[in-house]
Amino acid sequence: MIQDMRLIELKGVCKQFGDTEVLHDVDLYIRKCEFITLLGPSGCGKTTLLRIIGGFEMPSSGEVLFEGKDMTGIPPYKRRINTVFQKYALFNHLNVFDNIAFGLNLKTPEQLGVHTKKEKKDEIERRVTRMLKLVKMEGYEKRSTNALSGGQQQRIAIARALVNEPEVLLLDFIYVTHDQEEALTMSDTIAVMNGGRIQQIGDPKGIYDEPKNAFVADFIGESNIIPGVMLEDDLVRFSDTDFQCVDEGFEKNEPVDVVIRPEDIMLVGEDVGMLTGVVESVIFKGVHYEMMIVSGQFKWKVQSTTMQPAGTRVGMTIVPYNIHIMHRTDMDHVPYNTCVPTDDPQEEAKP
Amino acid sequence: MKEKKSHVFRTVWMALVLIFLYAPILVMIALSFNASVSRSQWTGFTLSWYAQLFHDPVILGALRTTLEVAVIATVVSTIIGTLGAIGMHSMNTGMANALINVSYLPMTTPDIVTGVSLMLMFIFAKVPLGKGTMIMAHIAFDIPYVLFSVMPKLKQMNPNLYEAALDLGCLHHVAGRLRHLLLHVLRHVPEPVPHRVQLHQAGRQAHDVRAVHADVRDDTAAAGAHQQAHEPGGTIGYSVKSMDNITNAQLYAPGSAAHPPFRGLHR
Repeated sequence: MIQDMRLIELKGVCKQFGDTEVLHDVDLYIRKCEFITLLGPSGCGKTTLLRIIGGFEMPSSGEVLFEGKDMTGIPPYKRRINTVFQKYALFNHLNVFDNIAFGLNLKTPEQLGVHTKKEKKDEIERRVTRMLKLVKMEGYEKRSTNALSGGQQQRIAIARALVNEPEVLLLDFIYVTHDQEEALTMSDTIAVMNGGRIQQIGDPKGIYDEPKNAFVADFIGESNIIPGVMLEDDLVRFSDTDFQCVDEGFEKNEPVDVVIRPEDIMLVGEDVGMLTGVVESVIFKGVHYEMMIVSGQFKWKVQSTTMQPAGTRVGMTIVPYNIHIMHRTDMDHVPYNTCVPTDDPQEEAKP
Repeated sequence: MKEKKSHVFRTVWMALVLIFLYAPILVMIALSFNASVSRSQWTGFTLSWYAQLFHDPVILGALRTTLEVAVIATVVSTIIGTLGAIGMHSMNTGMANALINVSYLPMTTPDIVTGVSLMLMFIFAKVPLGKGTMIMAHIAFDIPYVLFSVMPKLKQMNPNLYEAALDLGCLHHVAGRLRHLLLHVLRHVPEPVPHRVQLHQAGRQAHDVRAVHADVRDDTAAAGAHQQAHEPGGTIGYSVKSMDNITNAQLYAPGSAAHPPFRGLHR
């Protein structure tokens, strides 16, 4: 269970490399027992943020607090944090056992709760064996790390970090688009980053259902993003049609971004749909069919368990609850689902 | 078909190169069993030259000195060179490039120039010539070879490796950290080939480099052999640069009793 205590807190952290700003005013806290995932396209600052927490990089400005105490300038080995690096960084002059024992070997017997060197050796062996069991790698003690598969190396890297019993474990892993589901499933909290800023932070459901801006909507899961105008509270106009929605508090006639998830568009008869369009392509995706439907100047991605063959004219309806209205972001590239230019650019824009 | 032709050509070329490099050594080895004092006449097989060799206290003393210098210079220059490579690796490019260019100098300077310069410097600084100066000189011109062997490996090394060691608590154990880093780096340092190639680009003869290199790598006998091999006339003791080369040259020319002219400088 997540406890309310803030283990790590970042306040206004900025980081520049030369003229490039990699992190801009990042505020973030991590509570005890919290599983937090940083998501974002490559180059968005995730790794730099982890490196600042790990102590390998100093923030250009801002504070990093550990249990309320300033951590800036404290070297990695004095932080109760361990990191699993993206490329694992196993020591390949050492075997599996010695890799895992590396951190423990550098501790004094007292730090391990024993007194003599002999006891330390036994204690290390006990802990390493436990870790190997945890990562299901018993019997690999004497193996060279070069002889391991990528997955096995990853598990040894995790064991090597965990055996030191850190307060915080930093995992610099790649989540490709299709792995996002895993991130959504495992995390207590997700922070979506782009351009060195945290775009949105919250629990996975909140991030998925209520994305704060078009970037988050586009990055997490799949979505249709359409430019629209907020006519009044609960009424939005896009694709030359007025729609009921549940969003309030926008300016009258404010230009907005409208986000609709592909699974939230229902296909109906052509005569009863709020929008009509022509099915351009159909892909079978296992659980559902994914159809691209051209309607006016927009191309909609629709997921449905029933298939409409390409060329069919269909109607589409969307319930007000599933229409998400967002303030226009200042980002220059919002991947709108326009038909021009030819193919929708968002597929390629996704990392 | 064309490909096969070029393959044959390459094989023949390689064979010619190897023969050119090693045939003189083979001849020298064969002649060392020649009973005659003359090099042009074979009068019978004998091991007596070797027997004489290992009874000559001067030569045995020289051999010991050679081994001592080689081992000490190898160990010390490996440590200094590796540390230097690590330092240069984390420097900014401009500074590192400047140092790299300076480090090329001892490798591109002719041995005789290096030798005489070092000798003059020691005399100027009133450092008594002897084993100490010999070791110092060797360390000085061996370091670049270590540097250029280790640097490419550092470039390939996962940068997280160093950080992983820090992360696991390695900073307060400087000795341990260095040991691991050295082990890790040295385990993966390529065979001499890469810098041989580099040097070749720098305009030096490949076998020349190998000769110097080999004597760094405690293969002193080979060094002597090469020294002779690439010196067409088999001149003995032409270089002040390294005492051990001189003595090795002697070792490999059992028929010759001449003492090298520069011996006095080192004793």
